[in-house]
Amino acid sequence: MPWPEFLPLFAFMCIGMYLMRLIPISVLSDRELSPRTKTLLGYIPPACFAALVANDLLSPSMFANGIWPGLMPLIATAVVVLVAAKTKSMVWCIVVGIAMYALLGFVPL
Amino acid sequence: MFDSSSPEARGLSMAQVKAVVRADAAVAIGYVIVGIPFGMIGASLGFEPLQVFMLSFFFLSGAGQAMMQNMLMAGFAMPTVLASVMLVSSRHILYSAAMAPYTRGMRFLRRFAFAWNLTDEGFGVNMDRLSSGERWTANQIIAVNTANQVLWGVSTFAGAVLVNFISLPAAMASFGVTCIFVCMLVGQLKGASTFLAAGAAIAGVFVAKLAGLDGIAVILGAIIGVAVGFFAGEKLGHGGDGERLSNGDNPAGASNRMNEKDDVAPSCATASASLTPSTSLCTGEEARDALA
Repeated sequence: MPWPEFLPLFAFMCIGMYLMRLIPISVLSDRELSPRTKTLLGYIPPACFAALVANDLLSPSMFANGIWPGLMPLIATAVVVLVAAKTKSMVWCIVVGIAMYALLGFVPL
Repeated sequence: MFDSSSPEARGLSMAQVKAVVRADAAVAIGYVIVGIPFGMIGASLGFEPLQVFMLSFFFLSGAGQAMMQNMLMAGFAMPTVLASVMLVSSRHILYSAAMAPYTRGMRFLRRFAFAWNLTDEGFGVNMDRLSSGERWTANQIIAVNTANQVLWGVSTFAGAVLVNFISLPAAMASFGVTCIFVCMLVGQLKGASTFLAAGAAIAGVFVAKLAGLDGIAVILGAIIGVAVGFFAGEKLGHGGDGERLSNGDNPAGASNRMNEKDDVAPSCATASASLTPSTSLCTGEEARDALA
């Protein structure tokens, strides 16, 4: 990408990102939050991670190329959920998840 | 649990460094595994290796970077690209808000160091440690974030340089990142209301995509999930599964209460330090198990 196009885009993206990362931490850190606010903030991690997983796995066109290609990552993810619940190990989740994904890719469906 | 005793302290002990390496190893490996093909994709879409590195190191948002690359190459106008990338990255507002209680008493530059390189995975690793019984300091939080930032930048740069020499299955590598998110999600599911929050977030993302709002699906889903989880927790009694509320649902004050609880029931005290509301609850069974 030509640098004269890249640099303004890069600058705007970074400024926007830093503001999003810094404003809440600056505004909220020295305030005594109410118990309800703290409880509310506590739901951010599960909701965000669920949204990120869903964003990776689900889309209206996920079965456009057939049932199996859309189902395959969901099956692999189900296995990863079991591994995560059992081992709580991120390394095992990655290893088993990628192995399942690769294995399921060989299933002739 | 957060060690708030010296928020402005500099440096890390060897034990703290080891703890950081232990906590972040899986994410670090994942960053290298995913970063190389990610950089290769960026380079193949027309970005120079230095541009790939700058985006990875300073902007530091895989989802935002991927969206920007795809939209630019699809010919979208610059303002549209910027708005979409900002929307998809706006979940960082929530992460920053969740980390805010841990930066109490810090100067602006220290807060900047705390927040400027926060990523999905770094947030997950730090929240996991803060939810555990292990003492976790501000410097360790910064160390995790910085290690991730450097690894992501270097890996994507390497991928962009290596694009002409090797080929890696990007879909498989990308699924590795999904596995990381799944692991982090499962670690946060500790009560009916958190399950409801996650379910609502998943449904929200899918409905947003059905409505053609792909660019804001993640943040919309997350906001819906937080709202549903919160109101379900209020209705069902915070944990939503019949557990009694302990005094540990305050992440900022959790470390102070730890000392009172450590002597009685370590596992419950550990759970009470968590930011996740349902884990702030301690059942009678858990208390008995801990005492046993």
